[in-house]
Amino acid sequence: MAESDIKSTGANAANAITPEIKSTGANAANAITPAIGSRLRSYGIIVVAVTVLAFLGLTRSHFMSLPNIYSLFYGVSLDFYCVAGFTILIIMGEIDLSVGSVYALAGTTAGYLATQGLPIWLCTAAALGIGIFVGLFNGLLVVHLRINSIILTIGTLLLVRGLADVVAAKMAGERYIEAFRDIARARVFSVNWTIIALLVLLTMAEFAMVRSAVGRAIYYIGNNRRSALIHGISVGWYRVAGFALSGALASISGVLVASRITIADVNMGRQLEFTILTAAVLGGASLFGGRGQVVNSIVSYFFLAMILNGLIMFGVEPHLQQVIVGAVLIVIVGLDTHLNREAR
Amino acid sequence: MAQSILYLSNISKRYGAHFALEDVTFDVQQGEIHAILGENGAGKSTLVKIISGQVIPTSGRVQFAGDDVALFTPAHARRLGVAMVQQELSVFDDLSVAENIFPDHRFAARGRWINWSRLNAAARQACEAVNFSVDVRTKVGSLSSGRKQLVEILRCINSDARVLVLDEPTSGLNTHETEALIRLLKTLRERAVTILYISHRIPEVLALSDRITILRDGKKRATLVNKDLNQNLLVRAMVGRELQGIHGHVATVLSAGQPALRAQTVSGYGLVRDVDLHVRQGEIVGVFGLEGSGSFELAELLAGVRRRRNGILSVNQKQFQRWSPRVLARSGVQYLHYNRKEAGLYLAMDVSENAAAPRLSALSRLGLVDRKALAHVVRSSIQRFGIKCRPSGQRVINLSGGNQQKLMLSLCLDCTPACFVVSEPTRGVDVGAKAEIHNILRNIAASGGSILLFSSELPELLALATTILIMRDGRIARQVTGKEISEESVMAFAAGTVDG
Repeated sequence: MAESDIKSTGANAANAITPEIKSTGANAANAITPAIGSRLRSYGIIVVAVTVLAFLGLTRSHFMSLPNIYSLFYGVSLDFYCVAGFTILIIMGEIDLSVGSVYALAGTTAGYLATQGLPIWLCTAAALGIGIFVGLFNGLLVVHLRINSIILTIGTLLLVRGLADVVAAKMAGERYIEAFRDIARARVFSVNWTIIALLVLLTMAEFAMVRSAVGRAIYYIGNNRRSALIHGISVGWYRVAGFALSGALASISGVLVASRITIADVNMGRQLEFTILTAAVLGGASLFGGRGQVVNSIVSYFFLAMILNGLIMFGVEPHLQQVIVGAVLIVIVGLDTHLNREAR
Repeated sequence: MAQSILYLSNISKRYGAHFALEDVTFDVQQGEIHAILGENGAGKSTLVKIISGQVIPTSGRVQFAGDDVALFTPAHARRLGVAMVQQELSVFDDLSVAENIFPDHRFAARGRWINWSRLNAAARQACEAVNFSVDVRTKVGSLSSGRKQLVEILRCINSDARVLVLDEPTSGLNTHETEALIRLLKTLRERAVTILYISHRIPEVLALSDRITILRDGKKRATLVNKDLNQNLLVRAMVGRELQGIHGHVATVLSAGQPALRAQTVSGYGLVRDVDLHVRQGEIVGVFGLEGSGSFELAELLAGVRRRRNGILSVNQKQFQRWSPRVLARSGVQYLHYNRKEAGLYLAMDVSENAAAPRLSALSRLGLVDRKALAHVVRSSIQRFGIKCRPSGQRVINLSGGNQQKLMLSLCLDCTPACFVVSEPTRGVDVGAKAEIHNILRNIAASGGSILLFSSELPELLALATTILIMRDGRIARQVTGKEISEESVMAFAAGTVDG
């Protein structure tokens, strides 16, 4: 009598969430109609964000100054690629924890090669190659050997980090050459070009995710991989491509950031994956896939950056930054799980 | 007269408007083997769940050894000496066979330490009793599901229970193991153990039981003493229902069209072996198989969602050595999965997003989804299939089961392809929706579409299919057409009482 069981649970579920239908109805235009939880949360985040920013702005005059905000925004515009790739994968129901290491390896390698006298375009291409290679490695193993992506990418995280350290050690804290340092510094209409790129590309990415067939397929896969397979979406191909994209985008961010920090730093991109994960979850992405938006991840990432920046202004021990990111992640994931349990 | 150890009186279980069980009364006597016989969906599993305390009946009483049992939990069952083998396996995959057979610390000899040699010896003995050859130290996780089932049965048998409840215990066993199990159950009866044996396999039930209670459509049809019974009589009692309006026989004779879908020697990695079949244009071919026959696996193989070992599939004369749902969709074949929770829908998304999924490329212009075209498709599907919903903003999880099922059907049936592999299209929907779905399927066939219909509900197949293929042990055991089709004949072939 399995059939009647299904029916009854279906009916119960419907009753349990009926009140929510109305509240989510207004939000129908969204890519993924969010549960009441994420709506509630997104309002909550705005309230918390405004409060925190007001507090920082009022207590530290320097915080709300244009140069400070600009500099934060500039930083986000460099990490944007990495955050976008990570978010797209998480929407598909996969996680790539190796992004921080790829970012470091690609960035330092490009800088190292440039310092060795190679043309900048070749250095960037090499970095991109590293990112795509690691991404394909992750994707092919996850899809064809059916390895859990969290476990696998922890492996690649360690492996690639080791290689990045080797390259950084070769540079021994030396400065990259002028031409390489200029990549992230170039300005258009006296604004860093990366900020303009952020605004343009973010709009395009969001539009593509919501409106394009490819973007929709990504959400379908994250929502129910088997349904997507039955409906003729090349699920395996998308998943491999997703990992490759994540690797490629992480390497772009890596090159830009290496160019900005000017020296080969062994700490570059360390634990970046966890900060991005926190931002993505804060922005409404679900670890189970099917939910999330690139723009929300970026806004959340910017918000996290501001909090960390504010803490530094308050003279908080820099090592305590991790405590804050960790606490935010735990609170958000706890809240998310709790609200989802009510909704499902 | 022996004492009755379990007494169920006027048990009903209602899910919405649908009765899974209606006014069922019977008793199980001390020391007898009592079989519950019924086809898929007759209410057997609900009955087991009520006896095991997992489901609370809407009305009626359960008495155990003369006492009313209000809330019957697994803990109660243990105290009363009831052991149960359920269809969903509950073995410890990471423990050895021996540990699974004796999960209590019975062999804790010296203080709290396990005496492994005694434990293993006892387990070996238990296995030998049913001709089950296995190293008792192997981890259960590495065994096949049939052998896992045997381990679970052995655990129950060896738990010193006074009452054993076995729900389809032989569904994963081979004939050798089945025979051994039946012999063992008979020796347990001599030791005054009471056995409630739930099955749809008539030969076993006949060989084993003292009394047989037959369920059909959630109602008890009879409790028979197993004396002078034969298979035909039981088959008739099990399936002989009145054919109702919506189940009218429509075996229309069709012009012999071209085969739209043809499978040749298709085998999978599970049960399915060397299956040949074909469906012509305008035809509905039914596939019937009892649980464990491999029919769902065959549907998944043909749909390309399960890995095939070998075989060739031809769609409109085009041959494929290997195929994926994507390739099939392009050649005009769509698949409907039998379990909508597992695959076929996107429960957290709304109706229009669901509707776009199977036709993404058709709806796209320059890579962007054409929203106007999508809205049009959604409107016409909702209308055509009578789905009660709001097209956007309402998550599919909030729709009723019947509407979810109709939506899932509309996703696959409303597409342009002309060939459909449909598995359990009316699972968990009410009578009205079922009739609508049947009409939709008939209309598709009438307009030249081809349908391969997998169903565990015989009346559905009788109402729709012109040819029925009967599966048993992963093969097509028999094909019946036109006048040969009757519930009795199909069930007899499927249950293996008649050789194909």
